[in-house]
Amino acid sequence: MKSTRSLHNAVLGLLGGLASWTLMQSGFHAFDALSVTGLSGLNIIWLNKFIFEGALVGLGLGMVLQARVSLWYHYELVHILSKMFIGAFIGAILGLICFSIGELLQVWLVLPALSRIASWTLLGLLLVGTTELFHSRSGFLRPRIISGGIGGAIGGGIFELLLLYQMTGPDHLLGLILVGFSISLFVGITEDRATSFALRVVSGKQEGQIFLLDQNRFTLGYGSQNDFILKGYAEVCDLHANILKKGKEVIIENADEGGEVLVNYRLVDQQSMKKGDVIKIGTALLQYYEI
Amino acid sequence: MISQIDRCLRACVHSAGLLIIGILKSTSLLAAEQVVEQNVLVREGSPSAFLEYFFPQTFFLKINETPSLTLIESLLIFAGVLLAMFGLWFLQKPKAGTQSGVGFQLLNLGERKKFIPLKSGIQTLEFLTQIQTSKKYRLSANLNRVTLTPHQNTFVLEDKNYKNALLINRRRSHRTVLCDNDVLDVGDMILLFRNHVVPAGTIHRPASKDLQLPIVGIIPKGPVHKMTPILTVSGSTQKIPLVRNLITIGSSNSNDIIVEGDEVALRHAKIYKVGGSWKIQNLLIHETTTVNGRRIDQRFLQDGDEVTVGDIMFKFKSGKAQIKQTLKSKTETAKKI
Repeated sequence: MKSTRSLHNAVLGLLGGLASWTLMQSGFHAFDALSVTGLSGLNIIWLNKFIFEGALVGLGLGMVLQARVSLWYHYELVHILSKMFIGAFIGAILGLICFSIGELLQVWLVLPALSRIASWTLLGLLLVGTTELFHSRSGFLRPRIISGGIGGAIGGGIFELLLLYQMTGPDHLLGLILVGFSISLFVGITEDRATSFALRVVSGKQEGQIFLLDQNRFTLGYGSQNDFILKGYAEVCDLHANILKKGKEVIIENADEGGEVLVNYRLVDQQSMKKGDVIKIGTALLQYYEI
Repeated sequence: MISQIDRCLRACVHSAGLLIIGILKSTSLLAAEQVVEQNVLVREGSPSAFLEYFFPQTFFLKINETPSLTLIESLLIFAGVLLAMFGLWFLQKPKAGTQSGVGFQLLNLGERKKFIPLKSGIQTLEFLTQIQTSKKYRLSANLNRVTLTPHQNTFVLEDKNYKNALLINRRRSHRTVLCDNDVLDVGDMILLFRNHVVPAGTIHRPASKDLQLPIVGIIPKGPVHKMTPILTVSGSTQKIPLVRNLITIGSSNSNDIIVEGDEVALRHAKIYKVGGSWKIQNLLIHETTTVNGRRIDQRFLQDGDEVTVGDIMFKFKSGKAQIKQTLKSKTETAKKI
């Protein structure tokens, strides 16, 4: 299960790189069209294409990275599209900032290769950091962000090597794809290393789904702001339960007085779970196990 | 009002930009100065000159002026990427139970989607011994005494032996009408009953008295001494300090700790102090009190013991352990300092 998720993440990274490449291609056509029509006011900004480049690269990668978790858990399409939209918006801004910083470094006589790697690293850090913004209480902030940075740095290194040997392909296709791949691969690996427990849904609409517990804190419920979303079940609250990981112990906690959390068909407020425990939330049956 | 503020701000930004250019012009490197001079002279301090000084047209990724794809091609590939993402999403669709009819599903870990259909006639649970599983599970020996009898679209499970470790929805039961999503524990095997005709909740079961939280316990007047042992109620955060030397547990109001449960007697057990340690004693022969899963008559309690009275579990924490913990934390903090 864990390795499948790594694979999923890696493939998504590849797709992110490809998306940013195609966006750049189409973006440059748009730029040309704009400059022909002579919107002189816009030209001031468009003159500096690198800003444009950064925004487009960030847009592609951010879109994919933000939607990563929702895609993996097969949430509703509307939910995923909104995530992608938010990710694209934030990613564009971040890409702009990171590439501007890289360019500034070049102005200040830092080696172009180094400044490029720096901006990739920054992009990785910030992109993964913003995906964390929406579940800030997860308690798994630092390792994930750092892994994003490492991924970015290694991706940047690969990019530079490819540039050196002139192997980046048409318009840096290969380089971009590999950067996206390395960022999401490293984030995926860090998540896998932290995962040792899982919850499996055994009844109803989402039967067969496996929620992997990698963060230190999870929220579970009906609402779309939760880490784990249970849809299509009766008697599930908007925010129904919290799952906390403390060392080797995983604790389930009732978060809403209106709802009931049953562990082994016994009503609980707070209970540490054991392997094989059956958890009932509303009408949904979940099984807890260790991987 | 807003437009005035806007104008004001713009003026400020402009003057600041010109100031910076002025400073740079006087001090910075020759090459930079040339750029500034060119831009400033040619464009007379327009914002574009300012931008071009800081961000010269060295394309960051140095993409060609003419991209290798046409607009339509690139948009098509982008649509392809989106489609591929949709494909990944589709692949993740949980494979819901496609099986129809009545049967059991193995819930043990590592068992892949094992569905065991049930025949329509009367049968015993003995067929469980013949299923091929990835691991050998310990099952009760007298499964031929557990019968499944058809009853209005579903089955009645009856245990005629009473000695089988058979749990339905994690509770002991001898005769139950099964409905969808019931969990059965037969020895080590965990089975989920599937019957789409009879959805969960349609069969009325006599409501078992569930744990009433919080449990009524002794409420100490004032602060509790560090040496006082504590009983923690399983399934909640409630802590009951044992402030008296003899504490009785049961469902009647005359007890020190009042526990309402199906299998709790009026006066069920007592915990009392013997010297420096604590002892638990079962007060009725036909009721069960267990320590760490073993049925006991009387026993000394140690730190971390799990005590069950009827079907309610407590965790015993002795005072000494707490003191040790506090000492440890104190030494740790001292070391840190």
